[in-house]
Amino acid sequence: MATYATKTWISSDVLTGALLNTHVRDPLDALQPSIYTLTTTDAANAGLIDITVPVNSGLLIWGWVQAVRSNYADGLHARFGGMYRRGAGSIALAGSYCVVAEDSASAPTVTMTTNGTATARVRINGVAAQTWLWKAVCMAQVLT
Amino acid sequence: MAIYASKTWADGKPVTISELNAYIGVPINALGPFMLTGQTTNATPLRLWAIAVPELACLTVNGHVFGMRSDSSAALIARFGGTWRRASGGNVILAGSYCDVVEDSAGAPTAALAADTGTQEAYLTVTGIAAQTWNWRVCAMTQWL
Repeated sequence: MATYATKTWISSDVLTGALLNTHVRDPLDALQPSIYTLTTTDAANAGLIDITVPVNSGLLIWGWVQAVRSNYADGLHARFGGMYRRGAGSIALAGSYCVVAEDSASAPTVTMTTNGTATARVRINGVAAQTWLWKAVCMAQVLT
Repeated sequence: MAIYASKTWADGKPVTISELNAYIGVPINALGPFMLTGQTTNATPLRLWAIAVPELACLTVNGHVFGMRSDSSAALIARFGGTWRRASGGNVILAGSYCDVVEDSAGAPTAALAADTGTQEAYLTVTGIAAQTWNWRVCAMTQWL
């Protein structure tokens, strides 16, 4: 039997950090894809996906990123996956892949990284003086 | 903002390309996985799925395609992902993609992503082997910007 997600969010829902962390800690729910969106207007670092990893835990995430310039003149596709771990101290990225393909004249990109002591982050960098729309689909599993 | 799919398809029922296009036209369902099947009896490329991309739209499709010769003597698996975009007054363009194919036949069956600027569709083709029957199935997910 095929089973698909039954949880429905409406577009006005705001995915808070607390809600996200509750979501990814439910072993079944966490396998359902969740969507993250962001708009960039410059090339600065931005966190498209931020997931808090508690001490003595591991986090496995995988998914893909879609991005397009606001006038649809340039686009990007990326796939990513990685394992984060955190013992008693700070979070570490144990292993990952992130493959980016794009057709712009600049260098918008996606990077798997960490932020602070506890946050697993999928970081994006847009293009200076351009508006880009970003969307990620991510599956997650937490190991404790 | 988070959106999850809520549509359930009957087990084992492949959707048609027209059903697929109606289905993914609903934003809330855009994440729903879809499955399509096909068959080749020669080495002519078969368009296994095709999705119309309107102007001012960006489509991403990620998934796997499976192929097997009818006597089960050879098989293929490919994982793929692509982002197509279409500006105002422009053609659909494949902005970035990958398609990794692994197979164990004596020929060269394959799969590929492309854009059709005539029909303004994003699509995936599978190519079988001359004088052989291959059955194909694709399982993928879509998203729009």
